[in-house]
This record gives sequence, C-alpha cells and structure tokens, in this order.
Amino acid sequence: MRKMITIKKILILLELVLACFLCGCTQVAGLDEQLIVYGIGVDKTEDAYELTVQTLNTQTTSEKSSQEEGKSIVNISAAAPTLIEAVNKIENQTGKKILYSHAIVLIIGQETAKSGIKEIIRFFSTNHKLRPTVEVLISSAAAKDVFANEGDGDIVNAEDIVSISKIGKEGDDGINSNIRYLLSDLENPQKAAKVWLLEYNKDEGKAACPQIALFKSDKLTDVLSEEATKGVILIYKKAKNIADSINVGDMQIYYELSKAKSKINVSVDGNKLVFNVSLCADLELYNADNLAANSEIKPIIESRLAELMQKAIDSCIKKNGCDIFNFYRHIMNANAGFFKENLANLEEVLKAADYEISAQAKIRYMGANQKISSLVY
Amino acid sequence: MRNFLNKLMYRWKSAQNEAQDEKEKKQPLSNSLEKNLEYFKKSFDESADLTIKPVRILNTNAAIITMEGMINKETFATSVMNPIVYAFGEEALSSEEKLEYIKSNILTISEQIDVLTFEDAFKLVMSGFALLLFDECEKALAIGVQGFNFRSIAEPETEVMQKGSKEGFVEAIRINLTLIRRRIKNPKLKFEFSTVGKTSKTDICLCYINGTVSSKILAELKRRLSKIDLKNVLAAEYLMPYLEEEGDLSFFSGVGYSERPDTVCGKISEGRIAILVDGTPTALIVPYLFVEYFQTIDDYAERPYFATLTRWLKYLSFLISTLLPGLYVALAVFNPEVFPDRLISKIAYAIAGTPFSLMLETLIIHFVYEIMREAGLRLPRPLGHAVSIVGGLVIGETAVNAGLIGAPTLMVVALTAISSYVIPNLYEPTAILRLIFILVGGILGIWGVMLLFSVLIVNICAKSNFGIPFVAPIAPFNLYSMRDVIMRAGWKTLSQKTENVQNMPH
Amino acid sequence: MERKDIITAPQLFSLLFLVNIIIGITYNLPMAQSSNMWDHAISAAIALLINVVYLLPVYKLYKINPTMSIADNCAVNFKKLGTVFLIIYGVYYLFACCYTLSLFNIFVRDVVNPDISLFMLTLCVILAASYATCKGIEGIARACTIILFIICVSIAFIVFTLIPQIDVMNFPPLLFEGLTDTVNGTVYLASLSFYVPLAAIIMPFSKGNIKKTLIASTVSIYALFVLVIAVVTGALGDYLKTQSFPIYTATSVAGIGVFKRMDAIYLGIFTSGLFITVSLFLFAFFSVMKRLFGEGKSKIIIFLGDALVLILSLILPMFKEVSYFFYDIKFIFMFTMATAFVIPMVILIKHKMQIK
Repeated sequence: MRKMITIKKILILLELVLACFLCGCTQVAGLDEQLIVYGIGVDKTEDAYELTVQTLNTQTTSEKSSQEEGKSIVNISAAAPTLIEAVNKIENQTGKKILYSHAIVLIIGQETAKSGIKEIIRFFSTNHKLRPTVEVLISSAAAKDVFANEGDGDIVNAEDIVSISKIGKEGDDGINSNIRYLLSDLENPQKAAKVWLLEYNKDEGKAACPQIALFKSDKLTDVLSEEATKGVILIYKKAKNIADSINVGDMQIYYELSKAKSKINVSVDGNKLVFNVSLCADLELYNADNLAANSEIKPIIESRLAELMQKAIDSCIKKNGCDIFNFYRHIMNANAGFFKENLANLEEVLKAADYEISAQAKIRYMGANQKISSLVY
Repeated sequence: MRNFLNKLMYRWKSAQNEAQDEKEKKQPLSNSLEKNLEYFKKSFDESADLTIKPVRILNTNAAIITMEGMINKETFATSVMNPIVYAFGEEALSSEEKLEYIKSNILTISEQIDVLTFEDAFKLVMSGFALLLFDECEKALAIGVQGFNFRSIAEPETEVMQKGSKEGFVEAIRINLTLIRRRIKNPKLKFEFSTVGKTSKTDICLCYINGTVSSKILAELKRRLSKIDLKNVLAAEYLMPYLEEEGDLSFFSGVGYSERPDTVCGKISEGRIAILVDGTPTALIVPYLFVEYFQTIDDYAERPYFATLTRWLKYLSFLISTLLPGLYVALAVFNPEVFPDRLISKIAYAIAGTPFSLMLETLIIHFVYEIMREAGLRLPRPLGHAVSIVGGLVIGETAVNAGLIGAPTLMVVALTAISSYVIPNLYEPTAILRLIFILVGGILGIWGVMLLFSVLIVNICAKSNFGIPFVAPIAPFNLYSMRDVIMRAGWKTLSQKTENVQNMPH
Repeated sequence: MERKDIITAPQLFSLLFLVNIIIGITYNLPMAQSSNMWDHAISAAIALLINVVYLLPVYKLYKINPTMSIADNCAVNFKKLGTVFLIIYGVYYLFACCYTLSLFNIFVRDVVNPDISLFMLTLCVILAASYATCKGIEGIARACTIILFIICVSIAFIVFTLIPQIDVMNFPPLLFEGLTDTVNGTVYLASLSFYVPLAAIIMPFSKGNIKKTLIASTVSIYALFVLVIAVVTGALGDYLKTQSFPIYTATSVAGIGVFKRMDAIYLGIFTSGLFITVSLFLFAFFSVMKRLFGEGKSKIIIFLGDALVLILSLILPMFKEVSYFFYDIKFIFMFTMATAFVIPMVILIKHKMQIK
C-alpha cells in the first residue's frame, strides 16, 4: 500500500516537473504574434501571385479607441512566384504568423480564375486552421482592389462582402460556394464548380453578386447572365427573395419570390435522357393593381419562370457542358446501369438530353389598391 | 555528530518523561487527603486558576477543587457548598460511606461522577466539574457545576441561509448536543463521548441514530478515531485527515462539515455520523458524498423548480470556477478559432496591449485576487472597506488602463471568483485546481485541460470513504437517487422512500 | 477465485461502448481501402453479426466460471500453451494501445496540426492513463460513465447540427461500385473489435445481466456507427473524398449560431475518451501480466509496457514499411479474430473435452 502511494506520488511529481519543461510553452505563438485574417485576395500576373490579406490591426493597442472606432482592419499585400512564398513574405513583413481561422472570404480575380483555381483552393484548404465554410468569390476587378477602395480611402470589409454574396440565397447549399463545396466540385470530374461573381465598381466603391461564374475542371469558362443566374437559383432546390420583372402589355410588373422549391426527375427514353424540372413558387406581385385580366398573369409568370430555368440549362449544360445541378447524381440514382455505361461521355449525354421545364406559381397581390390582401390563386 | 547525539538524547528523555507522565496519570487517588491535594498542587504547579477549598463535612476533613472561571458560582454556592457544609447525618460512618451519603442525600446536582484516578480527576476538574475529596477515602466525587462563558447561539457567518433556522453551533459541546437533541426527539438518537489529543484531551462526541446508522461504518469510524495520535486537537478540522481513507490524495474531502444543527440533523437522519468537537463550532459528517457539496438546507425550503434551478447553477458555477480560466487560456492561445469573430478582436486587442503572455497574466491576476481575499479575511472590519477600494482601483481600473492586464482576462477571473463563492465548501480545491488548469491549459492547450479534467474525474470516481463511493449516486448510477441530484424533487416525492447513505450503490 | 472491484453491467456497457466510439473517431477511408463511406453501412450490419459470433465463446467461458477472466482461463486450462496464449493477449492489448495512440498521433499531426509537441501529448496521455490504471477498474468504470455522457452529448450536438445539412443527393446507390468497398469495410470494422478481447478480461469484474449488456453494447456500437455514417455522408457528400478522417471533418463543419468551429472542443472531449480507452487497455495488459508474472513483477512490466507504447506509437507512423504492416486491416483482423474468437474457442473445446 505504501509502495503504491509512493509510486503515485512519483508519478504526480514527474508530471508536474515535465509540465514545466514542455517545449510547447515556448513554441506556441500568442494571439498578439499572429495576424488574424478576415479576407484573402489572390491575383495572378504572368509570373507571380499577388496575395492580399485583410487583417485585424492590433497596433492601435488602446482598447478605448478600438471600442470607439470598431474593428480596425488593414490590408497587406505581397507578390511572389508561389503562394507559399507570398505568405512567407507577408509574415516576414509583419513579423507575425498568419492565422486563417477567422477568414470568411477568399476572393480570386477573374483573370486569375481563368488560368485555374485548383492550386489556390488546395493551398488554402490544406491549412488546418482555415474553416471549410470560407466563402469563395470571383471578382470582376482584381482582388486587391476589392479590399481597398482607393477613391474614398475606406477599406471594404470582408464581412460586408460576404453578406452581399448571401443576399437572396437560402440554406447552406452549393450556391454558397464555400471552400467545402468548391473543393468537392473540383475533385469530382462529373461535376462543375460554380462560384459567385463579385461585381466591383472601383470608382463608386460598390459591390454586388448578381452573376454566377462557371468552371470547367478548375478554369473559369463563362459568366452566366443575370437571367441565367436566376434560373440556376430556381433549379437549385430552394430560393427566396429573387426579384424579376415582366411585361404585360404596356405595363411592367414586378414580382418577388418568397419561396421556391424545385424538383428534378430523370427518366431514360431509349438511349436518351429526359429531365423533368418542375418548380413550385410562392411569389408576391407588385404594380399589378390596375390590371383587369388577372387570370392572364399567372401563366405569364409561370412561363417566365420556366424561361429563366431554360436559360440556365442552356447556358450551363448545352453551351458549356457544366453540370452544376447534380444531374449526374439524378441519373446515378435513377438508373445506375445507364450511368455506368455513359460515364465517359456524360457531358454529351447531358447536352443531348431533353429538358421538360414547368413552373407553378402561387401569386399574392401586393400594393396599395389590393382588394383582398391575401388573395392567392 | 555531537548535535546528532544531543538530539537523540533529547528525544529519548522526552519519551521517558511522557511515559512517566502517563504512568503517573493512571495513578489511583490516595487514601490521604493531604497527599491528594499535594499531588494536585504539584501537577498544576501552583497554577493561579486552581482553587482548593478545604471544608469539614460530617466532622471529616474534605476539600473541594475547582478551576477558576469554569464553574457556575451561583449553582456551586447554592447547590453544592451550602448543602454539604450544613449537612448532618451519621458521623460514625466511614469516609466512603459519608461520600455516598452526600452524593445520594445532600447534593441536588443530577450530574455526579465517581472518580478513582488522577487522570479522570484532572479531566473533570478542567471540564468545569467541582471535585469533592474526603480524607481517608480513595474515591472522589465530581459534581457537574459547569458555568464557563460561551458565545451565544447565532447564525454561522459561513453558512448563511435565506430560509430556515438561524441557529448555529457554538464552542461548547454540550450546548451543541442540545441543539441536535431538540431537533430529533427520538430516543434512538445516541451521543457517544470520547477523547482525542494526548495533551489537550479534547472531548468529542459521535452523534448517530441507532438502527439508521450502519454498524460497519460506525465500527470503522471508531477504529480510525482510536488511531489518532495528535497531541493537541484545537479544531475539528484536525481530525479530518484521520477520517479519510489511507493513502487518499484527492483534492476533495470525503468528510463533510457544517456549523448548522439543521444540516447536521438532516445528515444524521440519512445514516451518517456527526462528530462534535469541544471548542469548535463545526460538526464533522461522515461519510460525505461529492453531490452533497452542492446541497444546502435552503434547497429543501424553496419550491422544487427554483431549488432545481439553483442546484444547476451550483453545478455550473463549480465548472466555471474550476475550468473557465484554464479553458480561456487554452483556447485563446492554441485554438482561437473557437471564439466568434467579434470576440476574437476584443481578445486580440487586449493581448496585444499587455506585456505578459496570457497564461502569466491570468496567473498574476489570480494570485493578486488570492492575496486580496486573504487580506480581506485577516483585516479588522473597519479596514475591510479600504481593501475593497484598493482592490477595485488597483486591479480593476488602474491595471487595465495602464495596459498591465487585459479586460477580458479580468472579466474571466472575476466571473471565476464569483462562481467559486456559490459553493464555499469547495473553495479550497477549486482555488488550487484552477491554477493547475491554467498552467496545463497554457502549456498543453485544450488537450491538457481535458486530460487533466479526466484525471480529476478518475481521482474523484475512484475515491470512496467508509466503503461508500464518493460519486454515488452518479456512478454507480442510481436513477431513483437522481431526484435529489439532477433536480430537487418535491417533498411528497422525497418523503416516499428515504435513502440511507450505506444503501448507495457500490 | 474471489471477485474484487465490482462494476455494474451498465458500467461495463459504457466501457465497451466508449472504446469503440474512440476508435471510430480515427475512422479512416484509405486505411479501410475504400472510397465510398455509404457502403460501410452494410459493412456495419455484417460486422455486427461477426461480433455476435465473436462474443459467443467469450460469453460461454464467462458463464462456466464468472470469476475467471480469459487470462485465468488460459492459465488454468493449459500449461505451456496457456503461457503462449497469455503472451498473445498481452501483446494484443499493447498492440491495441499502440494502434489507438499512433493513429491518434497521425490524426493530430496531419489534420489538426497542433502547436504542442506530439511527444509531450502522448506522454501525458500515457501517464494519465497509467494513473487511472493504478486506480483500478472501478475508478475507470465510474469515470467512463461521466465521460461517456459528455461524449454522447457532443455526438448528439454534432448529429443535430448536421441533420439540416443533409442532402439526399449525397447518398449514392448502395453497392454502386460493387462489393469491394463493403467487403473491405466489413474487414476493417471487424478488425477494430478490440472491445471483445477487452470484455473477456473485464467481465469477471462485473455484476448484473452480462448477456444483455454484451448484446446491447454490440448493437448500440453499430447502430451509432450507421447513424454517423448516414449523417456524415448526407451532409458532406463528395467533400469526404478529400478528407482522411471524415468523422473529424464532420465536427469541423457542424455548428449552430455562434457555436461554430467547435472541432477543438470536440477533440478535447474525445481526448478524455482516448484516455479511458488507453487506461482500459493498460489495465487489461496489467491483468494478463499479473497472471503471468505475479503481482510484484507485473508492476515493473507495466512501466515497461508504458514506455513501449510511448515509443511505438510515436515511431510507427514514421516508418512506412513497419506501419504498412501495422495498419494492415487483414493483419489486425486476424489478430483480433485470434484473441476474440479462436483462443476462447480452443479453451472452450478443451473445457468440454475435460468434462467428457
């Protein structure tokens, strides 16, 4: 018994002594020795990568001033032949190690995206601190310019950029184009990656995400029009707050989708695929109070919705051969044999397939003269 | 070498003297009054508080020995001196017979003890008894006329309750017995006196209910008490290590304590044994379970839903007071990704503006807080305000403004400190544990914190006292007992079946 | 033989259940030689049946004499062969320890990449586990109940937060790529049945309905596994193909409100489970050594065992040739089958022959 007590005491003492000599206590970098990054921008010129990071500025060490001004951020840039060298340059410039754990957006310049993004995505995704939910955006301007608005001298916040990209989207589906989904799209040869395009007006300092950028393997191949983008959102399961306008006679009426849900079915007709894409949407109609023939509006809107979806399919599948809708998965689930047989030429099969698109809308009239406020038909 | 030999010689002589004292103390009273009185004077070395009053009772020389300040003089005068001085009876009786006559017919005090040895005589005289000695009699009579001053019964400051009794134990053991007896008017409630401390001869009393208590636990307790080899027992807490299992290195004690008679009575009713120690207003309770640290008498006076909420607050407070600083240091240093974006900027600003590493900063603030706490305890009351002002100014505002410490760290330490006062009985272990957690968190990160937490859980779980697992009824799990652990069920449910501590699953 | 350190049947359940959860956290698709995790749902069902078969001789031996563990049975029923069996069991428990710790080290080094020294982390885990082993099976079992509760709460939280992210499209058709993935998955899962030989050592310390406990633990382990596979596959989809440790990846994407990126917290909680697992294996190793060498020498051997586990678990991932063999699922499957089924069966047959 006494021996056991002695052994226990030795064990405890050993652990305490070892704890004091642990090398971990000297190697770890404190928060003040790290650059907390909120946004990352990557541009590529002919022979170099230009890395821009938006970081927390802890030089203003007075906490009072930090409370008054809010979060103080600063952009740091470095150019180097490889990304790792660019990162090292920034770390050498600042004397701090980059901490990616709070990065929320990764912006890649449009021109850079045309030459391939796999290397960039892989580089950042392998960093264990980087969250898989980091939003990836392609910007029409250089990524560096997005973070710094040289005109007004204000710095565009990474948080604001991310919130812009999330407007109108519901749920955590692939349209959000975060690293997790983008990586799985890039690794899967049957799927095509899609990323939101950040349109940035340098002079006015305004940003918006109205369009989707399409990728073939990992290279930017096309940017969808706004209508095709709306169509993509409609097809891609759930959408809300999508606004559009249609012409009815001389009048232009506006509608906004409050809820939309699509359903995709696939069947094999001989050697041809037939996709049936149906949409159920709840929408609010504006500026339609003076229209007499209300019964004509519904089919017009439904055909408009179908038209948008058709445009999306035409742009993505027919024109670019980019399956961003997971059609391949529908084929796999519906007819595994057919899928395996046509695995090598799936792109052609999808291009040759028939797409039967239909939409059903439940309309709610909005406006000052609405006779029945919750009329839905 | 010479010093070593001198030390050996000194030790041998002390041992010899002790043996001699022991031998003398067991010496029986002499037949001669003069010799007895002489022995008393020699033993007390003419101490100023020893009072010897020679009297003549029934035509025989006698003496009454008392200790100054220990007796109730009025009772002594009216119930002892007056009757015996004016006693009349058969003068032809022997001294022993006269003593018996006085005992049975003259004295009106109910508490009378026959004394045969000097050891017993000394103990009873120093406990406030008056000792009556007759010439030519080998027996003495100790008469209970205790009347020493003691503190009045008041609510204990360390266990303040909103509802319930405002009475607390006092230093006099006999008063404490009455406080318990008044609450459990059951003849099965038994008090067993004993003595501990070779020099101090402190009275202790075991309180239990016959039929409810486990005979095994009682026997084991008596065995452990008999092995106590202390010279002086000046507080109940001296006995605690002896009542634990041998080789127990746990931070948490399996011996509870309370200054409240209502709490002690509740524990006794569940089969536990309370140990009262003369001179201490604290009762020790064995065996004590870990969940009992989170139970207070107020819980049982409040409505069940509110009592359940406060119970959970206590569990949460325990976790906060132990783990929060260590977790904070571990996450801020090793895993800052856990913090939300807005919070990380605040913490980063705070760390950037201070000269010390986060671990060191947290340790410094904790130590300063402990210094202030100790100072607050020891300072006289009028100066207590000064401590709180200095503490608030020095630590609170000035240190943060000067950039010596960060506000988030201060916030964490403040929250920890407040949480630790929710369960004051656990303050000591949590104060040490959180320092260790800070060290481990700063060195090994979240891994270290969780490893240490697991080791702590094993340490607590492997502990048992008097054969009862310390973490019963959580492990081994007893669903029925959860009615007073996870929640505080209503009295109608609690009263359906009482669980004695020895019936806990093990 | 008299019983000491009695643990209850629910505590036995929690011990066996926790051991499997912890081994499951380092569930590795490349190691299972599979690319499709969803097919492992079928593998789990088959592995369940295999484990039930494994448990039969072990339980039968327990029924014959409830106070004897597998080590006692080896020593009593065989002389020299019994010593060989004991050595095999001793090596097996050490192997299980090294396997769990080394895989955890690979996982930590390659995926989590902490700033602390791996050596120190492993050393602390082993020291802490040794401490728990010294405390005895009672302390470990009681602590396991509490730690398992915390782990179950965290698993429930992860599952709850991942369920909204489940996309039915992420589930490929079962057996889409043939039977290979399913077979490999079955071998992989069956090889990780370390809990069966562990139960063979711990059962004599338990009281209560052991049969129900064993069935409940086996069914619960694989039911949980199927649930986790379903949730992880549904939520992560093709992202899994880029990840070595899918269960850990699931913790890094699970989040609700401000509670995001809690993988560090989950990892800490799972470290507690790892500590219990390692301490259990060390306890089993200690029990076998006590039987082999007696109580006095076994204490020295336990320290040697600790040192061996520390060295092997750190070094193994460094040497490809050795680690290839060490992590080969066929080798582990054979080893587990030998200790979980073959040896208990041999002892059972010998016992029956002796009765006849």
